[in-house]
Amino acid sequence: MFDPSLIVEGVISGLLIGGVYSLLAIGLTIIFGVLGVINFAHGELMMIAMYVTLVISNSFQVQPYFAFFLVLPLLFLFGVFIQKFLIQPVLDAPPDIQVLITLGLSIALQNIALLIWGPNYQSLQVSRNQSVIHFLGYVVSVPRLLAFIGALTVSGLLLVFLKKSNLGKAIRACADNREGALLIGIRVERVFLVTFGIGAACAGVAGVFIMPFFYTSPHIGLTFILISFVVAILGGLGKIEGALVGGLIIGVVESLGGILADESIKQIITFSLFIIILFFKPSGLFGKKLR
Amino acid sequence: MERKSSYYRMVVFLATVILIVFLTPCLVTAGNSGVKIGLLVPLTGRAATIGQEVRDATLLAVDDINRGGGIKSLGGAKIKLIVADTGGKPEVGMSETERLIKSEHVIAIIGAYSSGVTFACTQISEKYKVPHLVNISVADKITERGFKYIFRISFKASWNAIANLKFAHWMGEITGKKAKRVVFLYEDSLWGQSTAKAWRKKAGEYGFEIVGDFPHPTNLMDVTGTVSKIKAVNPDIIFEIGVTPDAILITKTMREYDVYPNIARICSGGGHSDPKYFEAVGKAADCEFLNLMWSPLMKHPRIKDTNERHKNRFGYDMLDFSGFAYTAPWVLVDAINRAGSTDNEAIRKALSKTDLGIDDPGILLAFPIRFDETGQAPAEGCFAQWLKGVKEIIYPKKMATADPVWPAPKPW
Repeated sequence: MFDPSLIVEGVISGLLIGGVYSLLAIGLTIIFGVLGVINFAHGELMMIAMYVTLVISNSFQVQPYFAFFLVLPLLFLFGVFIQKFLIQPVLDAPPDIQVLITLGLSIALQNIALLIWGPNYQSLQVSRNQSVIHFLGYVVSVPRLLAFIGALTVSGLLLVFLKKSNLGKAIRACADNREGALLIGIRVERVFLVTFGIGAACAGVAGVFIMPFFYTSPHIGLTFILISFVVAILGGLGKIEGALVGGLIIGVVESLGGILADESIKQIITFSLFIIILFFKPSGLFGKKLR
Repeated sequence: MERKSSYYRMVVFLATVILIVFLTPCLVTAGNSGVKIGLLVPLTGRAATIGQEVRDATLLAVDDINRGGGIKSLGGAKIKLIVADTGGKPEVGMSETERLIKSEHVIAIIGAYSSGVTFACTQISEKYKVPHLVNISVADKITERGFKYIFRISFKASWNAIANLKFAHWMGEITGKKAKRVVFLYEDSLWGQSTAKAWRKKAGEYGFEIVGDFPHPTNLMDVTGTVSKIKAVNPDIIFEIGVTPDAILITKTMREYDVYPNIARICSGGGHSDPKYFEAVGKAADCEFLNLMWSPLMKHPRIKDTNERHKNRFGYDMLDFSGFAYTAPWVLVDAINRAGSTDNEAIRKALSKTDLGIDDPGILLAFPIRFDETGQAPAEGCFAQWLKGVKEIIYPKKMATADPVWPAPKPW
């Protein structure tokens, strides 16, 4: 049963799906890090991106990856819109108000999707997106590999953007100290708009890349929100590098758990690891040391 | 003039009195000549849609019986169906059963869909000695309590699990291509666990070797680990049971990694028989075998005709439950007819001597309807196979719509 090649394949497929978890969690963590808002509608943003991908791929008969070019700006604008009209007005309110807003948004989006696309499960019927390549004798799924490359590229670009560009630096400044950023003349409100947009776009891109090997339904966001919280907290809330590493760790652990134990027990393994890491590093892998 | 008008008034008064006195018994007799049967179904709550489907099929059967002349031995007495809503709750079901018996004076009861509710309701029927025909519930224990007035035409849940093994064995026999290595893939709630337990216990008896036992939680996110393990053990057959979203993900992942059993996937109802599943995965579901409770697709003129009338009247095809729901009143009527009375003891005796089959009027079930001493009929479901996007009936053989494809080729 414990065939070593199975374990290697498990690590590979875990890393691949982990890349998508990372991207999803990066969106969540950047919004929290900069705005201090927990976005409970994050899974629903991904769900919308999945439906958009489905519609584009089915109506134009193209590879789902083309949807990337529409989903990225669309979700970015949607994020800006959410920030401008829903979050901004309550930014200084107590956190529970913000939680209510994003939670309400999540329920509203689920029901809008229910209205537009119906309650059915849908998945892509493009035949060419299902294939594997053999790499050194191991089976690697192409759509998962593409998802991994896509997710890591977007995450990498985002990191470079935050480190090098002026806007990126402004975003980091706002995350560090909002008042300080205001004092040195950063237009904090605008930075917030961009940040929420980026966070939403991350969820969107994750949705595009997962669609070829997953299915969607109006409630699919609930399946993914839990794992993205786990990843974000594991890496240290607000830490992008943390979310990146956390996603890969969770992906590999889940996948190995599925192989060494079974799908039912793997959740116990994942969450036990989560608890153990938080026990030694309470603020997450990349979080600040608590004294 | 004055006298004449009072005379007329007298006549009118007397006539009215005479009419009332003489006609009332006639009205009462007319009321009595209807035979009341109670139907317990959930019409509110989570199972409400299924409850309505069961009620519709039962109503259709009662109307067919009445149109066909009612109960012959009782002078063509008509059936009056009293529908009671259980709300899917055992305690409501119990009080409704009591109401049906004590205030509606029903002579027999049918119901009550959910096993938990049926379990409770049948205790009341037994207490009042009112014959109770269980039409759909499958929990084993319903007919394992030594009750005398409870009869069941639906099968036991454990039989259904074993039916999959039996079917795979039978397919091996008739095609000569026998399967050996089997894998169980099941969701890990009570439903899947209890099915898998029965599979594990009986697999050896049918000549199968268990090479994999893979439970999974519902709403899976990633099933690649299990799929690689299935590939590694190289099974002949995968027996599956799960809900729709997981069935979709499993099929998609199997297709992605190009993993398929050597002979067949045999799936128990649930997700795999959901039309939404087929819509989502399309061709990838082709050649899967499905274990169904019943199907309006089974080839028989009466089933076809009944389904058409059902569709005309209610606007939708009969469903997996409808065949059992429609047959139940006919089984009762047959017993009442033979009993020749509405006495509970006489009906119970007649029920216990029931011997009906698909050739008898109103019966839509393929197996013989005879009750053993526990009140259980030797019920079985049917098997279908998705062939080119169509659900084709494979078993029972005499109602098959297509020849099985065995071993099933990879659908992609």
